Amino acid sequence: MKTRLNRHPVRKILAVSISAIGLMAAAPNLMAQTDGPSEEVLNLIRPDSEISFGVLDVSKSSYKFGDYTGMHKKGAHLNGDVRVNMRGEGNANYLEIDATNLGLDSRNFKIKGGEQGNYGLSLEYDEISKLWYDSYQTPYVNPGSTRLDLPAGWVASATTPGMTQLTGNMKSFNIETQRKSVAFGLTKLLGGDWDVAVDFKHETKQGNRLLGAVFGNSGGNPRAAVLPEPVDYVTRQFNLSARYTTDKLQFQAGYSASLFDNKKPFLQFQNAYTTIAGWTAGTGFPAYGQIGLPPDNQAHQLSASLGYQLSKATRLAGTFSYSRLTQNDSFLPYTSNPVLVITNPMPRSSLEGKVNNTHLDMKLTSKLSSDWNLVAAYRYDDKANKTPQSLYDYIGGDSTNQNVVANSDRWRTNLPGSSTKQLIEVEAIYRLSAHTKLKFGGEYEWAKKTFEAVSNEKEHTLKAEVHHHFSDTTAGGLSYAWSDRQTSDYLFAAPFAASFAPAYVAAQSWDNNPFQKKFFMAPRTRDKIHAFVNFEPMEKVDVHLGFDFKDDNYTKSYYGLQDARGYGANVDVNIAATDALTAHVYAAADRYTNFERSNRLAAGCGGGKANPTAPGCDWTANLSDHNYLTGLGLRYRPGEKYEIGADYTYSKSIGKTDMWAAAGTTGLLPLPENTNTLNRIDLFGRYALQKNLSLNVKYIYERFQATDWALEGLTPASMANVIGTNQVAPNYSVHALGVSLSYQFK
Amino acid sequence: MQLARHVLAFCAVIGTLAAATPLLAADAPKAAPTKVNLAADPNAKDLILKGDAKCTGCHDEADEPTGAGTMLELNPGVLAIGKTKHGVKADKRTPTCTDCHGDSEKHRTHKGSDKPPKVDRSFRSHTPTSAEQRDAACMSCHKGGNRMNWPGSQHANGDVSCNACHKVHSKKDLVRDKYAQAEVCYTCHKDQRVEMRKPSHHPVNEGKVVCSACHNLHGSTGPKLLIKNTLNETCYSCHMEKRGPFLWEHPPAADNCANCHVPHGSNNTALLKTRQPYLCEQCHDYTNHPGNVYSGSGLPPNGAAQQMVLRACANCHTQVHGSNHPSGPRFTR
Repeated sequence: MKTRLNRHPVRKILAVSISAIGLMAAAPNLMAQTDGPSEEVLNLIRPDSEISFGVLDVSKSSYKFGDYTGMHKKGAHLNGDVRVNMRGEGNANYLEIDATNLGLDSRNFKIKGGEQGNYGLSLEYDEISKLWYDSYQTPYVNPGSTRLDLPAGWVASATTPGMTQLTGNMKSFNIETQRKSVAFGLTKLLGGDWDVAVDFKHETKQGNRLLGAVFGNSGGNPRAAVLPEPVDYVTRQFNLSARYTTDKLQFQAGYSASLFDNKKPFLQFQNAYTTIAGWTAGTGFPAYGQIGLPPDNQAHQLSASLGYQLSKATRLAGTFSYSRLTQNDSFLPYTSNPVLVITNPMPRSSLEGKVNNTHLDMKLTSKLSSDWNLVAAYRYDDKANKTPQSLYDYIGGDSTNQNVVANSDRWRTNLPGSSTKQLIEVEAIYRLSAHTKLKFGGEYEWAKKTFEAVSNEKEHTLKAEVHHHFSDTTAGGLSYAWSDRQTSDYLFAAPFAASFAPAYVAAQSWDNNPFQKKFFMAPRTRDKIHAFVNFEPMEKVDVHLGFDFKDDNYTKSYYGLQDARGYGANVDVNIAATDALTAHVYAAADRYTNFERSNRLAAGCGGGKANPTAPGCDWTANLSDHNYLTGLGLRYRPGEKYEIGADYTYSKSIGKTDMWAAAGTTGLLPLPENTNTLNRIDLFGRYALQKNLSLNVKYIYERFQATDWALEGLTPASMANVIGTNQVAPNYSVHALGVSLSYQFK
Repeated sequence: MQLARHVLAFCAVIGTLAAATPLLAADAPKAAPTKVNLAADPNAKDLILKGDAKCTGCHDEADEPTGAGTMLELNPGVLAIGKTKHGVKADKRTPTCTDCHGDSEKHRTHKGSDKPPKVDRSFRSHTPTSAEQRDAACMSCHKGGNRMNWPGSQHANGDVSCNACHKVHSKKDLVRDKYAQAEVCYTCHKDQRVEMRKPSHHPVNEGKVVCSACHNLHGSTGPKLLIKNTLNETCYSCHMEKRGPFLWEHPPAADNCANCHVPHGSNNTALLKTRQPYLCEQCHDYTNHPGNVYSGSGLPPNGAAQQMVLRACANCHTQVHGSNHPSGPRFTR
């Protein structure tokens, strides 16, 4: 077995351990002792610290297993955790160090110190690895760069089967991103009930994720490849707040800034295809195309919050905030291909995008009597998009000269949508008896939007809930909520008419089926039910049963999403057999189904723009996800000498897609199920070798099997117009064994 | 050879640790000359907090484990408060036992071998003290700031008192530990436990993101106890690249991330509610591919529909969160 040792973390672990030891040596005042309580008492009242170092060996490399955990590389890894908690004797000084997974890519290190009740400082370093795919392959020779080239000798073709150099040039490239952040915080108590807090976080995110890179225009003649998009982001967040706190009045004012900087604003990629019909000469291989990546942007916010005790029983709280979001990155050109003719220049060189968000909320809570509580709230969210509108004559996927005719679908005006959303909410809580509590509530939410098919929405919600203690050991609850969302007339062509050139709009009338309503602004009724029972069938045994149901019904949508429904049920059992032995078992299942209906709008089935509801073109999709989760855990700790524990987790998900189409539809075949099955065992133990020295062992076995019809059976040339990636669904069995020594001290 | 180097490296670290042991041990607490029996001493001295002798005179090191711990922490022990911020007497704000539990005179002055009456304000399970009364003890100090919206919040109205999540007499308050917090939340939020086990999920179980990174469990101004005013604003805390404003906005993305994504876990990649292309076809129906019916005939070996397999719609329409490219109105640039 080949083992690999990550040297970099070793240095970090040693540095941290030396630092921790140094801190202890350099802080005698924190460790000073005085005569007083016994050692036994001191052990009970003094904070504990612990340093652990050891080795973690992983049996197999797997991105899915190591996703976020950093355990993706086969081999042995030095690892360590540090937890130092020191407090001053006779003063309020403190020093805390909390470091985990120092040898893995998921490492975290945090140090806090200060004087409790006066000031506090904190510094944190964190890494998060998102491991997307370890089976991705591409023919491009320099994945990860911002200009992707095809290999020498590339044979371009109009479709992938003609690319004779494709399969032999497919090379693996791992798709992953890593976040690294440093955060600093300061809190300071000032006199007169005031305190201030400042924090700053600097984060980088680097690596790659996948994107579809296309030449040609969607809906016509696209040719694409799935490529690594370089990710090189820097984000900075800054928060400053001042707080005033008394028994009666609490006030907080703050300023926040968040700045996003993308160091790689575009991706250029060579066209793997020859020039095809509809493209301008010179756009096929070896020409390059260019995709814009996320632009730099900023957000600044001023906020003020207030809480005021109007009387002993009544309180008012509220927040006002005003935010400004801006984005003014220089535009990329319509095309990066110099052979293409640009007749109409861009109307502006950058967007000058600006959005002003205003938020106001108020909440009144009152204890009307010993039995009645009332909560009334109002919320206002306004998004005022001040981005200027302009007319752009765009080029479809770096493939054609600019189309300058008046009725071209290439003339587009941007639609900077604004919205105003408001909500009134009232909830009454009535204590019917010492054992029974009732809740009744209602909400009214209304919204205005621009550049949408719907300009106004309003939604009513009614809620009721009961909690009852049947006995000292049994309690249960049931809640139900019903909502009804109504909208103004659904002007299906409004955004189309606002964005396209008038001549094109006049010729086309609409670009989306008039009988389809987009679900996020369609009329809808919603039912939600939640029920639970907690009981103790015997001493030291807790049982929880729960059930949830949610149904979104889009009754007025002839096409589009018709219904989205979810069920969930669960049972939990916790057993404390003795003070030393505990166990827990849980099982849960949920199911989410959504049903949609659509129309092919094809002439062959009697449909088309003139007849968008032709029954012969109808089809439906019924998609359901079924999930099952079971867990079992044991903990045994007979004393200070040792403890052991075990967890078993089983998870299975099944994704089903059932299609139906009107009689006469050709080629309708069933889809296989997508499945994910996880079996995982965690074993761990701790044995005290000496009073302050413990041996820790942990073992993980994880088996994961997945099937995904979006990946299975695909070769690089399976899709005529998209270069494949040879990706496969994850399927692995991994063992991980960790052994470490822990030193405890006070 | 490599393995041998690994073993040597490990031994070196352990050796360093062992060598440092005396150094560390030198700072270890010194044993008191005699064991103090506070329970028997009417003049007992305070152990941790100002005036705690009236309690720690009985609740001392000989006290049995409370047994009131959760499955996650069996033996908190009363004295463990000394290990916490609530045990720092030098901080003038620190309360003493009776500030939280009440004066509890009957409990303190009880004589006899039978079980004493409960304290005025008890935080144990099956306590007669209401959630509101328990919260009042905490809110007497912890008001304002992130807790300004606690009164009337979902948890407060649901009788989820502070001590339902926080363990004050524990050296480690699990809900403040990023590896353990989710388990505390799952105690009630069972759905989220299932969702977090789905193939696509935020790294909560992995300890890299905590529930409280998105939710302010103490009450908030936004929906679903979110830390920000809106869902999108909360998501942009970590996903700023999707914030824009963009030249070409995709309305459902700008409106609400939850139109297409679920926050906790999904069987579909990128936390999508539904698989593509069907998710996209819930809004897009036109004469070309947006209205087509995609079935098993688009899968190998029957075929390979480019709108269905691999990244489906996103094989071409990749910038679905918005594009700032002047040629990107169809989100392909």
